[in-house]
Amino acid sequence: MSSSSSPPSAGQPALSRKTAALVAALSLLVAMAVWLPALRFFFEPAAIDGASLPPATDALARRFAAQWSGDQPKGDQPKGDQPKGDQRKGDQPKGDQRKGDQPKGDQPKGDQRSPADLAWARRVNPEWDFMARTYQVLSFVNLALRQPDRRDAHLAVIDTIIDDTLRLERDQGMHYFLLPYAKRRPFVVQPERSIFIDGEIALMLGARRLLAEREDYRLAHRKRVEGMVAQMEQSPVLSGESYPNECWTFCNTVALASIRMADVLDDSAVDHHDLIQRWLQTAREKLVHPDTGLLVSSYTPDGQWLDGPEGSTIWMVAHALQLVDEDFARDQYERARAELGQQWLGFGSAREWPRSWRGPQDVDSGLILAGLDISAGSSGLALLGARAFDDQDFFRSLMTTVHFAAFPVEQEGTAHYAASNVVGDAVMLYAFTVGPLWQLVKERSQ
Amino acid sequence: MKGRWTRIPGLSRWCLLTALAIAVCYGILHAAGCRELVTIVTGTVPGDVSRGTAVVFGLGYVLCYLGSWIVAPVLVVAAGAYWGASVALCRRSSAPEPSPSGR
Repeated sequence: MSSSSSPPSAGQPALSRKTAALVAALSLLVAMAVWLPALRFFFEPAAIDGASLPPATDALARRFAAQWSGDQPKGDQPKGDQPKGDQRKGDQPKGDQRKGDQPKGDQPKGDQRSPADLAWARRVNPEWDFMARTYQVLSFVNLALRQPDRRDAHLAVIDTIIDDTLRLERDQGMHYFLLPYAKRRPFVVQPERSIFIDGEIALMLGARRLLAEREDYRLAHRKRVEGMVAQMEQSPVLSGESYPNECWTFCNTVALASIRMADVLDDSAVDHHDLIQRWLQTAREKLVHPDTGLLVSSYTPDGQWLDGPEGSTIWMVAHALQLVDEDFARDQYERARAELGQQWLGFGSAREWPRSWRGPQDVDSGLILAGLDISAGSSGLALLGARAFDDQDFFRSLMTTVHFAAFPVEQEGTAHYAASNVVGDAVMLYAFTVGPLWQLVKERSQ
Repeated sequence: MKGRWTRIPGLSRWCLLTALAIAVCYGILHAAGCRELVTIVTGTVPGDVSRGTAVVFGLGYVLCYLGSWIVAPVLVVAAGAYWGASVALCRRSSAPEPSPSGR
């Protein structure tokens, strides 16, 4: 930058080296001041209200639908790859998810019917395979409610995903979708059940039943809910374990949402209003981080905290709570927005931890950009929170970041985000479509 | 044309050429379909390429993309600002000193 002090035109004197350096530095500052605030305008979407769908929605949905029907675009089959670096969740020892570390018999056999993306996801993290299914089912239920003319097509995708998931769980056991450390020690509450698995399967079944009743799903949903309720009642904090001695707020609030759906659907059966109220009361008393007022993310079945509040948990927690306590849900969202939400020059993102709590980077937080404190996991789920709570300003700024940094790729009428993965894309599709399903539950509960 | 180009200060020329080089690299990688290889940042390698190729071209694409959207425009604006400032300052320093009488 300092090399040039050439004259601007022949016959005019050159700037001194010192002046040239000063002018160069000022020019650079001016250029940044002009360009960086303008960058957003190239990526900012038009305002999207809750009733509208972002433009990428259909192409994203088509990609998932094509995968489940076996029509994956050519060259779109990912090669298996192994996770990079530390893949810990909770207190799992470092390196627990390294290549070849999965117990024998836990390999992805029997998933030939599942899309290649999910096969890749489960090699990296079996939870991603499972959660991608949940978010896809919820997305297609919302799409079916938004697009009645395409209801049957969406229903077919939903049933394919649910049937495949139930088949895998039946054939391989619940550990198929859990990280290997679930086998390291016994679950505290016996017989062993993971409310992570039961809650999301129950949510899928409940969502599908709200769209259209199916007898075998009704029985499966009821049975799943009864099992979760029995498990939760054995804990002093009314929470089921996701992993041995490890309860997650994410999983337990999803379970509560699925129980709420069961109550709405099977109004002649047992009402779990009392359990839900007791859970909320207990959570307010024992599971709230005092500095932020946010629910902590994980704890033992007797209520000892394992982690503080986390962005990769709290946005979904707030959304799930919308079905059981709207005021508490909004309170959690607004606190998360204040503690974790970030907006710079029109670009939105979310932190994984509030300033008063810092946990380890793990498989849930995803990549965290040092310095900027941007968490990929938290930012993706913040899209869902912002959309679910109709926070259009935050949603728009997050979408600006998605358009800029998630590298959308369109291919043969389908779309995906190259910097995301199958679970990230599924969360985004759910964030785009969220609304009608939760609204239906609320209407039917009145 | 060449005469006009040589009248641009060297620093501005360097900024413009660097911005152009970044944009050309990005254009080539984009046209070659390397955007798809950005999946490497999540650990995914598209089916028909080797891991090494995906790392080189996927990460190269990310760098050129960010360079094209952040660095190159800043360099172009800075080149213009530096050129304008240089012209203004040189004209000012080469202007005749006003006489003591003010005429």
